[in-house]
Amino acid sequence: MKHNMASATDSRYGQKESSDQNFDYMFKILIIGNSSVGKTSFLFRYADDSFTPAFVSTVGIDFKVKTIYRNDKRIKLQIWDTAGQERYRTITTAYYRGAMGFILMYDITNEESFNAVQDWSTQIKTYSWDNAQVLLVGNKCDMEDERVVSSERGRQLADHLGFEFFEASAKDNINVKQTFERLVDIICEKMSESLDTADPAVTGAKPGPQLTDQQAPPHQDCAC
Amino acid sequence: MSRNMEILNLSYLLDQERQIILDVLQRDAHIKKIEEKRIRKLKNELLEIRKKGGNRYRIRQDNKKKICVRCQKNLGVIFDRGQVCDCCQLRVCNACRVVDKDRVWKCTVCSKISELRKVTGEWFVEERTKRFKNTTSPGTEVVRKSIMRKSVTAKRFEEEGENSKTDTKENTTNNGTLANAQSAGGTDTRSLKRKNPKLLGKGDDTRSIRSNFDTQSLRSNRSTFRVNGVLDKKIVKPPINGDNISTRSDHDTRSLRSIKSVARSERGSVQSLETSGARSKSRGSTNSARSSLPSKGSKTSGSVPAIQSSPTPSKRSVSSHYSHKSGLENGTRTSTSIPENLSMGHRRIPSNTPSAAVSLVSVASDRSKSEMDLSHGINGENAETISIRSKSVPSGLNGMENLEPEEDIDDLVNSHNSSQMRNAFSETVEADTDRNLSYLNVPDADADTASICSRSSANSDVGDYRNLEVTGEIVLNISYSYRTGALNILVKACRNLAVADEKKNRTDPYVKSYLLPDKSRQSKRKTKVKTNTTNPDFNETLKYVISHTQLQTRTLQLSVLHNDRFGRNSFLGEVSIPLDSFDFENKEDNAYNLEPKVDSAPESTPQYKGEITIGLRYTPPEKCLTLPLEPGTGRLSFIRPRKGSMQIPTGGILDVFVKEARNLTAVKSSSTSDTFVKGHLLPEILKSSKQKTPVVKKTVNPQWNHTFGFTNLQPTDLQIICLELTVWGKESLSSNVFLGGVYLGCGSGNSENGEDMIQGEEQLLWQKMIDNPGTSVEGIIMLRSTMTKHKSNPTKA
Repeated sequence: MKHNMASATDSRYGQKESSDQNFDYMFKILIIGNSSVGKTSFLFRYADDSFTPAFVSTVGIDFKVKTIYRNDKRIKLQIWDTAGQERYRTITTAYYRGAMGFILMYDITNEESFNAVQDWSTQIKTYSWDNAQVLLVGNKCDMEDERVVSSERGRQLADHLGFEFFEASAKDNINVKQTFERLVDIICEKMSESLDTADPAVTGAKPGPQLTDQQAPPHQDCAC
Repeated sequence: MSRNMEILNLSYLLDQERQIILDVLQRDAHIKKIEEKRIRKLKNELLEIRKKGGNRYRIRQDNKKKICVRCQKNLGVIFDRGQVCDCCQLRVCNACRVVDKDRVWKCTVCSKISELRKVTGEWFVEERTKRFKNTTSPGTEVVRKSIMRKSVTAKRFEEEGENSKTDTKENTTNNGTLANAQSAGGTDTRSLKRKNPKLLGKGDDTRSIRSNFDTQSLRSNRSTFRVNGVLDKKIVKPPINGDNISTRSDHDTRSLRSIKSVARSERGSVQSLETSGARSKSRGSTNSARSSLPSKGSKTSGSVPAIQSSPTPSKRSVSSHYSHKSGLENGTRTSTSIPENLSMGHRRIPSNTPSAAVSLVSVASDRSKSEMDLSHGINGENAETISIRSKSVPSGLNGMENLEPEEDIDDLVNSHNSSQMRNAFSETVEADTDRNLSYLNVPDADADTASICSRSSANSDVGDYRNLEVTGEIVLNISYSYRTGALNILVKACRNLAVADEKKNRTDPYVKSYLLPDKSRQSKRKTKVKTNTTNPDFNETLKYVISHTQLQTRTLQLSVLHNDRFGRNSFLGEVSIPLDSFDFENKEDNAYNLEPKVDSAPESTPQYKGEITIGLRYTPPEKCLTLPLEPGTGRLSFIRPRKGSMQIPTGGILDVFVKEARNLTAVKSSSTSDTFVKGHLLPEILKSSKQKTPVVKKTVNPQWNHTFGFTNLQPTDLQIICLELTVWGKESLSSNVFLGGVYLGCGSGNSENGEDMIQGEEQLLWQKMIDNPGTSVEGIIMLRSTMTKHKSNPTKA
């Protein structure tokens, strides 16, 4: 038994993407939302470009890694897929901290999942770090016939919560890539913002007199 | 990690679920490892760039010439005049600039720094809210520890009672397998064995049951409650019960999981091999042995062998469900052994300490258990034991994160370490020598413990390096087990060794290893000596229990020595394997050529040791006179004796605010360090200038917020003196560990000490202070891995 496991993990490690060191940034992204709204499908569509209609409940937490090229940077995304079920909540919330971006997902054919968005957003506020970015995603937009949550309501709620909004379909591959890319962009923006505001090198000191400028003009015997 | 790490209640997880989640965690650990490697590389790059920009102030002062601070190139008058970097206010040449996309540029160092903040994700971490200040441990870490511990609070046992039966079965098999694994790899410790009986006397069956269910079934917990209900008259607090149960059974998971707790697990395995009959027998006997204890119940021994029949109906109800299936309760028993031992004079502490990383908390819970055992005496009766236990577990344990007990156990451990621990340790080592299983991180165990020494005395550290040529190679298979947190070095063989004793034409080789930089005994492992061969087959595993993160800062050094019975051991060659870039996925044997002894010169490449945040303020004498000793200045413990004026310092005052450090090397098993900073002024005339911060415990990111005050310094002194700050890891019984340091000064060339060593940021900050008298300047400075002037012998705190 032990043996099997070892070999299984080995093969996993063999995958190129997880051991690839060739990237500039690493972002951690968390997908949250009610059970069965399609978080795992969404992730699989994005990471593997695959879709299976069968419903398999995620156990606790899982992740996939995908490296993308965006804004001239190679960005490694570690995308955490969480279990929507209440019973895993203690585990999943532990992953909120440290996540730079959230995809908060509901199912447009499921009123309840939409109603829970507010709660999920509270969870984010409670457990995540302050500058985490959130996108609201209404999944399963291919199932127009069964829609119970209009786009308009989704958008309004997103505005209300201050998130950006997408409707997407993991099944028909609508807006999946766009969602992730937008989230990455928002994180990048946030990143440069936070770097601009804080002077990294020497903080806390008033900028002293500019040392080098006080000096006598340079000598003639310079290199050029 | 940090002691503030919270522990989640994951006891509700089914076994398969735990397995799945653990697999995910393992994958994550792998990713994290890669990430850390990458970041370390980047930080080293930054370090190098910074070092380059060395002596700008000296040159500025001496030559009045404009040069680029980064590459030291002279700047021109018209072309390439250099410009001032917005971030650091230093003038750099065109080549030393990095242009952002918005045509904004920074000098190489500043750009590197901000890039580092991006690539490391620090930009994000830094802005987290205050409320998370104490819980910086990543979610993964929390979940991992929690899941390993499988702990606490039966509060929310939800709806999975239905599964309990199957679960139990699975657990059992699981336990069984693991137990076997343990017994295979386990070691016998006499001291432990001796204790077995006592342990057994405590009502193992209940425990075993418990362990089984709390391996997660709700139902089982309920049934416990029932048991308690029956026993209610005996001061039971049923609601707490579940907690204790789960707490306890943690151990088994833990021990199953980690060979860190070898001592513990091995004892489990020993027992697991016994038949249940034998068990009950021994139990009975111990119970009677215990009869002197005050609260001993009458039903004692009879009740214990739950498999046969137990007098207490309630108990039976529990045991009949589970113990049949469980068959082996190794893990459980294992866990119990701890408190028992703790309570019996703390013999076992040494073996606990190393596992502290995983489980300080759970040890704590053990302790609480043991305490209660002592206070109430032990009733052989199982159910009773439960109730007692539940009662005695401190409320802190039940409710939430077990924080306080953790501290307690620490103290406890400390207080007992020195004396008893040695005994136990020595025994362990004796019994265990072949396996070389000892614990890297038990700081105290090292301290001249006779037992260890006795073994090492045979092969003194100092080999005879004289004239022996070095030939041959060593075949190794190095692996790291994330699950147990152990680095396993399988020393397979050596080939073509040089002949050590040419007179007798004899070579008795053995292999010794260290995990550098730790050269203490804790870090030493050895194989057996093979007699009279230059092609010895060892096939021995040297094992280090060490967290993966720590491992990356280490270098594995293996040396082959000839064991000379009378003279000095001769050196036959060595190999050094830096582990930060080691590919642990490569499962194959590797042959390494043995190399001659390398002079232990300080590493040529700077090593990332973390960074320290320092505030400096120099208050010149004229200001001091007006406000002689402002209260906010901090304590002025050093007064330089000059012209006998002790009352009012005549010179200026230098305040050194030692704020915090980040990413220090962890020296303890818990991936933390207890750190303090020493500061003093060079040159050494100012002997008395030495000052120290208090020790900040259990973190690699300590905040000292302590101010050193140095008085009586004339402005001119600032050009000469050099402030040395060194960070130390406090070790209670051995030498403190040097974790890095900085020199601050202007390196102007007048000081015999500061001459060449003060570089880059170290100079910059000092100069900034000089240029801004009366204001404090703060800066983050990379720690050096070596101090030029430093005596290699660390001093005692």
